[in-house]
Amino acid sequence: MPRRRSGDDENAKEELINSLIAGYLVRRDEGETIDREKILAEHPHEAEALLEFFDDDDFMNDLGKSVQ
Amino acid sequence: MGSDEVRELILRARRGDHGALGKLLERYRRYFHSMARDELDSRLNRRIDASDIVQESFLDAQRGFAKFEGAEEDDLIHWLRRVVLHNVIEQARHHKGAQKRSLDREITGTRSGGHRDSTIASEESSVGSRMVRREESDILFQTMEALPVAQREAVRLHYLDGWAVRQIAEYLDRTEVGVAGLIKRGVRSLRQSLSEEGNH
Repeated sequence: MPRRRSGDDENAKEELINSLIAGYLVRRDEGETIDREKILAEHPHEAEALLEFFDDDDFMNDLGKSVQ
Repeated sequence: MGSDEVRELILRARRGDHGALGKLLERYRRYFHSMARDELDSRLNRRIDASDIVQESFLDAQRGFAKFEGAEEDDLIHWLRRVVLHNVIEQARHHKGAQKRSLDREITGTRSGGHRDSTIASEESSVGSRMVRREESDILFQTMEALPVAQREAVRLHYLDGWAVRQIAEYLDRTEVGVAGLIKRGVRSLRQSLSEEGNH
C-alpha cells in the first residue's frame, strides 16, 4: 500500500519546487541562458510542476510584452 | 437591427435558441475579424488567418454561452472581445512555440523576405491595434485585482515592471524562494482566471 504523503512532505516538496524556480528566475535575471531540459532532467520528481511553471512563465512574458 | 431586437436575440439565445445566437454572432463577424486581424498583425504578421480565430472564437462562444451573464449588446460585445483576445494570445503562443521565433521580432513586424504591406501598416490598423492592446491591458489588470496582494505585487513587478526577483524580495521583505512561490501561485491563478473568462 503506498504511503500517504504527509503535510510535511507536501510542504517540503513545495519548498523544493519554489527553490528551483527561484534559482531559475534569479539566473535569468542575471542574463544567463538557462537550459530548462537540464533542470527537468536533474529533478524528474518535480518535472511536472516545473513544466507547468515554465509554461505559465512563457505565457506571462508574452502577455507582459504585449500590453506594454 | 435595433438594440431591442438584439436584446430579444440575446434572450432567445439564453433559452437555447441556436439560431438566435448564430444570428447575433454573424452580426459581429466583420468587426471581430477586423479586430483579430489587427491583433494578429501586431503579433504574427498575419501568419494565421483572422477568419480562423473568429470561427474558433464563435464556436467557443456557442459552447460557453451559458457563462455570458449580460443582457445588452455592449455586454455581449465586451464578452466576445475577451473570447477573441484569448484565442489570439493562445494562437500567438502556440505559433511561437512551433516556429521557435522571437516574439520581439514578430512584434516589430519584420519579415524575413520583405517589408510590411503598407495597407497593413495603415494608420487605421495601428489605432485599432492600440485600442485592442489597451483593452487587453485592462482585462489583465482587472483580473490581477482578484489576486492576493503579495502575489499581485510580485507578478506585476516581475512581468510588467521588469524587476528582478532579488529586488522584489527586498521590496516585499521576503526570501527569493518566497517570492518565487508568490510568482508561481500568482501566474497560475491569473492564467486560470483569464482562461475561464475566455471560456477555455
